[in-house]
Amino acid sequence: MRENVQRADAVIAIAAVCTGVANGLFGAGGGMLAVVVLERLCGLCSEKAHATALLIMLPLSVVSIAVYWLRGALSFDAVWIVTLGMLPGSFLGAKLLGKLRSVWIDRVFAVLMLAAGIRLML
Amino acid sequence: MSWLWYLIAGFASGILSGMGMGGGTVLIPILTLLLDMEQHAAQGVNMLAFLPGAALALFIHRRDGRLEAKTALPLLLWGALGAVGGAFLATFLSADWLKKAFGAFLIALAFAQWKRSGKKKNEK
Repeated sequence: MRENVQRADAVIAIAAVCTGVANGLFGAGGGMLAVVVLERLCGLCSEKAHATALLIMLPLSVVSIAVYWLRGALSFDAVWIVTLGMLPGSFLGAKLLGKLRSVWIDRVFAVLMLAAGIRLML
Repeated sequence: MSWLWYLIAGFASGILSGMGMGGGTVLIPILTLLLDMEQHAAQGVNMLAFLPGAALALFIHRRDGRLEAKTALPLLLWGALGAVGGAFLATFLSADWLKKAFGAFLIALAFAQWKRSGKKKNEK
């Protein structure tokens, strides 16, 4: 029993390190991993997992931003304009969440990510 | 008129992040592929733009009791370690290689998203 708990803790720690690496290395995608870790490994329901993932990703992003800044890789170009668009977008997205989210939206999004990924690798 | 595209890119990725589908995975390719931003810069912009909305959402989630701080703490500490390592690694990679690695990461996420898409509905 005790061993199982320790093993679960170790798996969670490794998954958390991977989440951090994704956030730092790619500046994105960590949240998706964090949601999976919170749902599957920590047993949170979907709603709490999505909320709690933000609690993890916000400080992690600050850490990553600090490293980028220290290393002279941070650019503030267009940040304000992008943020200005993003805020109302996320409100609308949160409102649409219950109504529009479906298997097919998820799949369209998956195909778009695949296409962008292939294009980036070429 | 490029400011308009930045605004639209932010808006589109905001919708997706609001729906819980990860906005940065959309915003970064738009910034690099369509708006010719350098890869590191795009990644930094995504994280910076994420902060205010995330802070606001956290405030609401806290009020509504959806945050599990105790569960988050170990993930936060281990994650911070990974973030430092990942961020340093990113700054030592050339924009070209980072772009390719990001592409591979997106492809992996795409497959994961597809696999998860069937199961999502039964959960709630």
